[in-house]
Amino acid sequence: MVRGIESAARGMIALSDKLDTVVNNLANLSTPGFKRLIQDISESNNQPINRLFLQTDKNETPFMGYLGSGAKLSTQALDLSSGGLEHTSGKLDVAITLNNNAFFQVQTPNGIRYTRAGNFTLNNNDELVTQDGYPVLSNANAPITIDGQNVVISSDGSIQVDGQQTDTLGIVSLDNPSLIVPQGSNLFNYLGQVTNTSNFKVLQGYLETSNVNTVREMADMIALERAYESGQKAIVTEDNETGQMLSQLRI
Amino acid sequence: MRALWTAASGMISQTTNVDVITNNLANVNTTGFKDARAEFEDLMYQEVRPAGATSASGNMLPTGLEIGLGSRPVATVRIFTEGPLQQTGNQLDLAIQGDGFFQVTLPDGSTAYTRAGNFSLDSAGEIVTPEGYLLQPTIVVPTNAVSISVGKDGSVSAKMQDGTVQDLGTIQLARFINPSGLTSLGSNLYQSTPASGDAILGTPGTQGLGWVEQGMLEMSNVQVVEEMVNLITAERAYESCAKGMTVCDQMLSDANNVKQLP
Repeated sequence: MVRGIESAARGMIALSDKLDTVVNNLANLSTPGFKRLIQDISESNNQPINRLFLQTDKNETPFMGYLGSGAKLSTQALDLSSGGLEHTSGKLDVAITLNNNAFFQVQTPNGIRYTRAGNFTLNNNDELVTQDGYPVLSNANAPITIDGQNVVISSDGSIQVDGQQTDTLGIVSLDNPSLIVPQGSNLFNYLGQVTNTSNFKVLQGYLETSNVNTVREMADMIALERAYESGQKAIVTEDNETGQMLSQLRI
Repeated sequence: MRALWTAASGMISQTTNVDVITNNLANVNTTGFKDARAEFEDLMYQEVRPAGATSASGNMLPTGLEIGLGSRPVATVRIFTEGPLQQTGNQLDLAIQGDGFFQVTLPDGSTAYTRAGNFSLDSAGEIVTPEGYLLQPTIVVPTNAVSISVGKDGSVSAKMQDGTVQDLGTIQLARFINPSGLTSLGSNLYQSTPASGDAILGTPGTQGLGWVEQGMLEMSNVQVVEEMVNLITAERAYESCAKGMTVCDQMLSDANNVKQLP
């Protein structure tokens, strides 16, 4: 009897953890270059169950089958689909299109990280940096210096300052989405080997918006709220039945 | 339930967004005002299970398990596109057609920059902003001047009572490699920061600087329709986060009702 309560409770815990991810997606509706996380819930381990009473002729409790033990959080997937493009007309706003796996490279104290948020600015050394001040890297893995008046960034990522070609944005492809780990501050870590790519288009004066879709997240949220409620009802039912059984057994 | 705080962080972000948008709307008629935009980023992720870790049964887990903790505002960026020019006919209304800022001396001696060219004269005949800050370099208009004319190249001259024309100096403009990095002082004034770079000075029409237009004012570059669209998006995003919070609350209440008292 008590096993059912335990199973329902595990399901409810998994659902409330999933809600955390759904709400995080909603909280980042306005975060440029944000990629939504999809949290899956899977069946928890099954356990074999046997009859309670010994079958005397065989001297064993016969095997009855398997009983589920609730649900648990399983894999998590990063949805790399592109958010919309927003025209900002900022000179240092860039968006990557045509390739959802292409990312800008950013130098952080913990190593190179990757981002799709192209809302860059300059620091006091005229280096191109993210809004958190991390330098954006060129295709030679060096910070990009912009010292001039007119900045033109072409579709292949090459940067022209006052008509002079200076650097090229270092854009790489992260081929395996399951190895991309979100880090916060619009940055991602990659646990695999990055590959060079020229299959992308850079747009100056645009920003990639968050790829979170409100309707989808709302639908997810309704479904998991109801599932949570069902879990609660299951516990209450099982609790009541146990109570009744105990009261009938009262000596 | 991290989701309660996650939803709250989203709502706080959207409040900032609405603050910025309404300030833009409030300045739809402010001379030389530049549209601002709030920027957001995701907060840190709680790593429940790292990707590439080995499970108890010895197989490598293909994906990790990370739970995000919300969003936060990270910057407000100004969009320095040119606002429409409005003809006023006033001889001390100046507009910059193209890139550049007028330089203004603040009372503490430091320099501020502005696109609002609604100047006037103070008691000493100096050209000043509506707050009384001096235009830099200082230009003094003699008391017996009949009219002032400002050329496209910034040269200021005055026609005197006796019909002669007197040269009064030249207005210099400043420009920045990254104007979005300027700090706003209010009163249409900006100050340079390490992010904006140092001011590049020059006479109007040179070094990529714009021309000065006399008798014109630059209006605010705020597009009401665009702000309205942003306002709708921000409000709906706020609402979504609030819904998330309601769901959390409902689930916590369900959890409380697991134990039903007789």
